[in-house]
Amino acid sequence: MAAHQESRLAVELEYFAQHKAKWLAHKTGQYVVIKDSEPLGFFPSFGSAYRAGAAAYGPSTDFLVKQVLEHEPVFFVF
Amino acid sequence: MLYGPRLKIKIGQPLLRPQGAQSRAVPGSGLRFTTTDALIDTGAQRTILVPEAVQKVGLSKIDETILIRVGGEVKADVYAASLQFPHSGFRTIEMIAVPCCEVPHPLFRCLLGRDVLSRWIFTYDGPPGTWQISEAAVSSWVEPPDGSDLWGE
Repeated sequence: MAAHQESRLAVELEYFAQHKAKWLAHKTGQYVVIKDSEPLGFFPSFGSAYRAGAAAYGPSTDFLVKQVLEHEPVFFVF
Repeated sequence: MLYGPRLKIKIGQPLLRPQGAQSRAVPGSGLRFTTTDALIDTGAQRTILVPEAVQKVGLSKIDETILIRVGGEVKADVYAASLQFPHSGFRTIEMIAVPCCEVPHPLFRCLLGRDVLSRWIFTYDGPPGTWQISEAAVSSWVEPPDGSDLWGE
C-alpha cells in the first residue's frame, strides 16, 4: 500500500486496537463504526453498520467498519 | 477459453436506500462507476479489486485486512462498493466490502470470489470448457461460444 493509503484510517484502526479487548467481552461479532477517535455505535451486520456510517459522515468519507473478533480474519485469494 | 470464466461487472460506490424501503436503490448524482471484466475465481475467498479500479470510482476505505496469495501475505485496504452485472441481469450487490490488491494479469481489474459466488449456482463443465451461472428468478447466463462477440458490443 502507498504511504497515503496507509495513513487513511490510521487513527481509527489505532482506536480500535486500543479498545478491542474491552469490546470483546460484550460486543464480539458485532460491527463497530469509528470516525477519528469516536465510535458511532455497534451494529449486528456489515450492512447496517455501513449504512449508519454513511448517514452520519457521508458515503464519500472514509470511516472504519470493523467486526469485533478475537482473531483478525485472513483471506485466501489464489 | 484462454482466460477462463469471466463476467462483465460495473463497480461503484454503495447504493444506499432508506432502511426497509422496497424500492430499487438509485445511485446519487455524481457517483462514478467503472465497467470491467471480472475473472471468476473459485479459489478466492473474497472478491478483489485492483487499485486502478478503486481510484477510478473513488471508493471510500472502511478497513484493512490480510490476504494470503501466491507469494505470501499482503496487507490490503478494504473499500465499500456496489457491484452490478449489466449484461447478465443478476441482482445488484448494493453494498459489499472489497479488499484491494494488485492481481497478476493486467487484463482483469476484479476477481469475483466466493463471497459473491455464494449467491449463485456456478457450474463449470470441464471437457467443453463451458460454464453457467444461475440465480433464483433470473435466467441462466451462459458464456457465448468462442469466436462470437463476447459481450454483444
